[in-house]
Amino acid sequence: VKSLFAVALGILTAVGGFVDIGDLVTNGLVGSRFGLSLAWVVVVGVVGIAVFAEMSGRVVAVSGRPTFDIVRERLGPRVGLANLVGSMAVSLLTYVAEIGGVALSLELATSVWEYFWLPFTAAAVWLVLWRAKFDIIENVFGLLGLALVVFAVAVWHLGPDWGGLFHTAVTAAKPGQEDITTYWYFAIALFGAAMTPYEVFFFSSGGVEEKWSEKSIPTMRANVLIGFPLGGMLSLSIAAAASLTLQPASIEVNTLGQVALPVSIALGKLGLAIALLGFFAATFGAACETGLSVGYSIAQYFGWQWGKFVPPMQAARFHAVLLLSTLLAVAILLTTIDPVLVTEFSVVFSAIALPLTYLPILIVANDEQYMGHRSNRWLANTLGSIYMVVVVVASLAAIPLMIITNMGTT
Amino acid sequence: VRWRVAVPVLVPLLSLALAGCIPASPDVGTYRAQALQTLQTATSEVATVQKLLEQQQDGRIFSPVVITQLRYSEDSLAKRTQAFSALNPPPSQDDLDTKCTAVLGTAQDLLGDARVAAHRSDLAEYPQLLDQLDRVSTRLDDLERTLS
Repeated sequence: VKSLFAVALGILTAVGGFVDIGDLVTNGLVGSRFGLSLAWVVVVGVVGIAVFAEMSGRVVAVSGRPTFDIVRERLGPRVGLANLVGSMAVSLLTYVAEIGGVALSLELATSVWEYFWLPFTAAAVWLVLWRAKFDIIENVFGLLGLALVVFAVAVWHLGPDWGGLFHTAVTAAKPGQEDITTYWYFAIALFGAAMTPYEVFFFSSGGVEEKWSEKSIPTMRANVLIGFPLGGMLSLSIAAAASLTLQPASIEVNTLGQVALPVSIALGKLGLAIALLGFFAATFGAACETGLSVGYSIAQYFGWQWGKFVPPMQAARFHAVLLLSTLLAVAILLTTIDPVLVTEFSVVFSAIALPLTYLPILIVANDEQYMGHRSNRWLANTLGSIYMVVVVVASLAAIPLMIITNMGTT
Repeated sequence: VRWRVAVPVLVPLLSLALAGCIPASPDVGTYRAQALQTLQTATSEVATVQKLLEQQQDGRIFSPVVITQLRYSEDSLAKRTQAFSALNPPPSQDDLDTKCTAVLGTAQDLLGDARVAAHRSDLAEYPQLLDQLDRVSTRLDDLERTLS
């Protein structure tokens, strides 16, 4: 019963923790402009993140070391540094976006200006990172993030033409008024939002925090193979809700308030209250995960003591990185930059950094010296190789499409 | 020698920087595309405010959500309108410029009125505001249709 509970809890937190500010904004925006015609990208992204999260989780379970610690040892400091710079820069940008997302959620609930909330939000995130135990951070916000299921309930309550929705999703038909380059720009943004590098950083380092062993592999696989696809369903329900209520009214999502509007239309105040709780939990949880990921990546590269499994005094440099990155994030946001714009940048730059994150994982997961009989088999390698082609293409196309479409505004 | 290298780099950079300070004079195609984008933003923000007021009238949305989103919608429309107004219209597009300026101004005023009414929780004003928003929405649609 205890192990079943652990599996169920893992799956639920994986579902609730899947959606972050990038998923909220990008899926809302895409749903309001393209309906469900880009749903296939979410499916491709979820399969991709599941493939690489399973690989990195397996590496941790077998070796007892985080993936990126091995990346530096196996591929050398130069490749490790490229991996660190690319992935960490995106994680830091995502951290900024998540803290901004928490402030926006609080602003939405209180109508008090977001800049008032920023210092309190940053302080609260830092306090949680410093004081709270790892499993508390993972489980509490993951479970509260399940409140976003309210978007799926809203879609069901709106009573859509399911056949029509399914047809749009399957045919991937671009709306007539939208440009093809804009369609592909948002496809890459959605892909980047689904496969953000921090998720793998957090997942693999979290495995060390929770002392995974080979016995943990079935539980880890259940989290990844059941939890992530269900989390992807949440993303799709946000897009579906926007496509049903906002697209017919020519409303283009640019704010968190517009993302919440379909729930209010479908379910009224109760639904909206649950959605706001979901926004807060999803962004706060993701802020903790991205903050930790920044600390993990730097500490693991330089070989410092890291993690929540030791007291802060024993991992002083790791905690100093957490503090400094939190101060940097709040300083960037207090320049009055729009957090939604930061989010849009973060998902596109995620797509750009994907090869730097995922190629080393593929190499390490194939190394029998580390992995023994648990190294990649044909299915993981086939999927991994296909995804490497996809992430390289997405990475190369991201900046040209961003320029041509003026960040999707044409 | 340093200047010979620096001048070809600095002159284009300086020109670009100066170009950013001077109101643009786009060609007809670019101007109409900018007009269309501005009208689409206005349509989106007007429709958002319509939905918000309808929801609040029916007691289905919290006041802080309405007030926050109204602020964002008003800001978004003001920024887009300001950027469009800064363009020098080509002579053949004066008529379009006049029509756009008029309808965008009306939309901005209405969003301001909606904000005031929402702050005062003046639900009695909502039917009239919704009616006016509906009319400006139709005007925006008509103008968009002439451009697309």
